[in-house]
Order: sequence, then structure tokens, then C-alpha cells
Amino acid sequence: MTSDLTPGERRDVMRQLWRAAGLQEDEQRLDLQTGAFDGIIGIADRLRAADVDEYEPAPVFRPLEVY
Amino acid sequence: MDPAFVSLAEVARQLAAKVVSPVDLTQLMLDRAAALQPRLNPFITLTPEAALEAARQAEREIVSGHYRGPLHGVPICLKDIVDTRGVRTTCGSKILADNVPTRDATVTERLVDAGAISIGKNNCSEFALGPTNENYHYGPARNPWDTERVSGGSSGGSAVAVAAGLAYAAIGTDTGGSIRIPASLCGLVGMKATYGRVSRAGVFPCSWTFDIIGPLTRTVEDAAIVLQAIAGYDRRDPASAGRPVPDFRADLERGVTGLRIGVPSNYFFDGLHPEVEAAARTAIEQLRQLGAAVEDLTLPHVELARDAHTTILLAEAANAHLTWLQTRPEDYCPDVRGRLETGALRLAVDLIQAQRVRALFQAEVAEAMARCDLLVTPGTPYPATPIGDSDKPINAIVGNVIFAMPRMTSVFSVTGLPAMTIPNGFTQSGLPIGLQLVGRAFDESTVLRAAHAYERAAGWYQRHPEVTDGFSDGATRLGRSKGV
Repeated sequence: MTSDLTPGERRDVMRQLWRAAGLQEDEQRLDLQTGAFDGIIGIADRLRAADVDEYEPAPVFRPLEVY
Repeated sequence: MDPAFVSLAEVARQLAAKVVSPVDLTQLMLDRAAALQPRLNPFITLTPEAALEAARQAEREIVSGHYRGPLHGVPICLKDIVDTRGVRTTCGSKILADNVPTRDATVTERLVDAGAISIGKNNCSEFALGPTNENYHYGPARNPWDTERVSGGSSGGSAVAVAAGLAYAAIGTDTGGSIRIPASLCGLVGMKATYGRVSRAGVFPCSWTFDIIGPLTRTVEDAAIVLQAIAGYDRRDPASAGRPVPDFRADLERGVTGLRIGVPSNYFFDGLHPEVEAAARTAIEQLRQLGAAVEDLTLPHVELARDAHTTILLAEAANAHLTWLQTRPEDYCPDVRGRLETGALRLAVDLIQAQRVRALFQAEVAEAMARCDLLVTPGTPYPATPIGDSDKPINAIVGNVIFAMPRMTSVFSVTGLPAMTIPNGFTQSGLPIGLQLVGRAFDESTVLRAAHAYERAAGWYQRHPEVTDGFSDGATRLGRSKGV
């Protein structure tokens, strides 16, 4: 994802994601999610900018001394 | 004192001493619940016949000398996302409106084994997705301090029932604050134990890696009693911790002298309602006066932890719901459907990145907790907001109501650490304010100890909403039961 897409490109991206997720075709819902596009990519961009080189994914909290 | 608002610990003493009858106590709660349901809407299902049958059994056992412990004969209720054998469990949804589980959740089993009496299933946000409990299908659970305002969510009905004196404790679930937010907004104690401490088996998943089940009560001691009953290893839950369960009440009276309390100075005090901020700062000063050593600290990546929480929660929830989202999306309420769709559209690389940020933030908080026994923050940025205002912006820092309410709590769901909110006063307009305490992994005892010390010093737990009109027969009824 990138924040410099045009509104039309954003809608196209969302449509492809929508189909890939297997959701029912629904133009009104697609409109709503396209409207949320900035929020989604904003979060993704902030997360991607984090320096996490030292960290593996933590799928869950599990103190090693316990498990 | 109105018997409906006696603490669980006190009513347990009365039950053990055979001063009150489980049957009379249960009938009192059922009468109150039936009378207040139209005003407050805390229940999706009430189970009077099963409750009274269980109460009669408890009475027989207690009278014959087979007392099980402090939950024996005590009326409680459960969020309607916790499975109850033979009692419908809707998850606050249309999709599961007729769902009748064939087996109890582990939490339910343990409460039944402890002798607790369930009087019904509490209203909640649909599938526990939402911090205000404005349920599209069953109506909002209304805040008993102001019925035009939200109770908080997602365990709002559980909070309303306890705050209004319809039960002595309730079970909620917490994924980003769903116990702690309604506890804050309704003037209660709400506890999220360490991830893995309480079994999730038989509780519909909201987000597998954040979900935890816990109590909402009117006092800290009551929370310790309920947690004692439900904590501990369960092979039905793959995340269940094999850690011994301590006596959670053992340290309650030790006070806070010698405890080191960290106050995160960034993020947690930004954009607050002024009375919430003033109450939090007063509480921190009071903890210092009680003997705690207080120090300011910073958690530089806390904003990112919020992003990680949002990403992981929505992706996991979308996965849990994907089949229904694909086949019957119109059966979800619009806002929950929107959140699930948003989760379904996230990329795998971003989910993994969020999990790496979770590791980063866990390490950051662990470093802070190496210097502190506890962290203290406000419980929510704002007190209860009007019903219907969920999408309205509060301010530029905390965002709209839906986004603002979990601001304090969700980041500690990312860490998995134990956290609880306790009453911390009231606004001038009479709305409850909450305070959050966060502890080290599996050190719920220290959280409870500090919370109890503050609760007794501050005394906010003694105030209850004015919902008692018409129930003056409660004391008479319980008085009749002396000598059962």
C-alpha cells in the first residue's frame, strides 16, 4: 500500500483486496472501506517505519519461565 | 446498608454464618433485575428458574455443613459471550441469537463448582467488538449513573448489573479494555489478569492473542475472590499457563509502603477530560502519601503499540468471523461489520510487522517494570459519553469516542500484563472516573494489594447509583431469612 494513490486507484486496490478476502460484492460497503483507506495505510505505514530489527513476531505473550 | 449493595465478601460471610439465605438473596437479585431491566437493559437472558434451583441446592448444602467457599450461594451473572450449558449464548449477535451451548465454558464450570448462582447472561457489544455496548440487536446497556450515557464495552451489561446492585459480581472479557472500560465508566473494579491466567475455553474469540476473562465487582477484595475461583491451568485452552495460583487475598492488607510506582508521563495524560486528569494526579499523590515511591517514566513506543493492537485485533477478529462475513454480512450491525471488513483487508506483512512491534513494546514495558512494581494511568480518557455519540470526535488527540475509550487499556493488552481499573472519584456531574494499575506478569497479587490500599483510603467504592427506589423490601426479606 502507498499513500500517494489517486482516489480511483485506492478504490481499485480495495476492490482487489475485497475480492481476495472473499467478501460479497457490495459497492456501498466498498465505498465505506475506500473511505477508511487512509486510516488503514496510515497505521500500516507507521508500523512499517518502526525499527524492529531486533524483534521476532510475538504472536502471543508467553513468559518463558512459565511455559 | 442496602443488602443489594453489600460487598461480595460481606455477603459471603453472612451466607457462611447462615444469617442470610441463598434463595432469598437470589430472589432479591432476580426481583431487582426484572424491575430494572427496562431502564438499564443489562441482561439478554435472565434465568430465574435455574438460579432459584441452584440457590435451593446451595442452601441445602450450607445448612448441612457443606460450605464450599466465598462464592457459595452468591448471585452473579456472566457476559453473554461465555458458554453456559443449556442457556442460550448469543454473543450479543443476531447470528447466534438461538445458540444454546451443550457445554459450559471452563470459567462457568469453575464458578458453578465454587457454588456461585448465575442469574443470567449480560448484554454486551456484538461479539465483544466495541467499547460502548451500544448493541444494535439488543439495545444499549445503560449506565446506571446516567441512563442516557453508555455503560462502556464490551462487557457493559456485566458492569451495569453489578453497579446497579443486581448481582454481587459479573464475568466479563477483555481484549483491549472490555472489562476495564465499563468498570471505569460505571464506578467498579474490573480486572484483566495476566494473559494465560484464566482459561478462554468456551468463550467466543474476539482476538485469540489478547482475550482474557475476568471479574467486575464493587470492591477489590471481591475481584480477588472471583479471580481465585476462575484462575488456573486448563488443558482446554492452548494458551493456559501452568503457573501455580497464589492466594489473591493474602497480601491485600499489606499496603503500598515500599512499592515503586511508575507513572508514564507521555501519551497517558494527553487529551484527557480535565476532571479525569485531576483525579488521576490526586490518586497518584495519595498513593505517594500512603507510602509508595512514585517516579515518572516514558514509554516511547506506546503510540505504535496502539497501532499494533488495532492491526492484530482486527485481523484476528476478521479471521474468526470470515465465513459469516462472507456468507451473511448483513446479519452484523453496521459498525461491527465495518471493523471486521477492515480487518479482512489487512496485509499479512502488516500483521507480522504488528507482531514485531508487539515484541518491541513488550520489551520496553518489561524494562520499565524492572524498575517499578506497578504502572498507574487513568482508566479511560473521558467519563461515560452520551448514547449515540460513538462516532463523534472528542478532541484531536484521543479521536472519536470509539477510538478514545480503549486508549489507556489496549496498549497493556499488547503486553499481556495484569491490569485493573478501580473507582477514582466522580465528575462534578456525577459520572464515575477510573484509575488503571498495571503489574508484572503473573503478579496480580501486587496489583490487588495496591488497588485495595487505594480503594480503602479513597473510599469511592462506597457510593452507588440511585437505583434503589422501590426495593426497600430487600432488608426485610433478608432479615426474614436469619437462622436458615
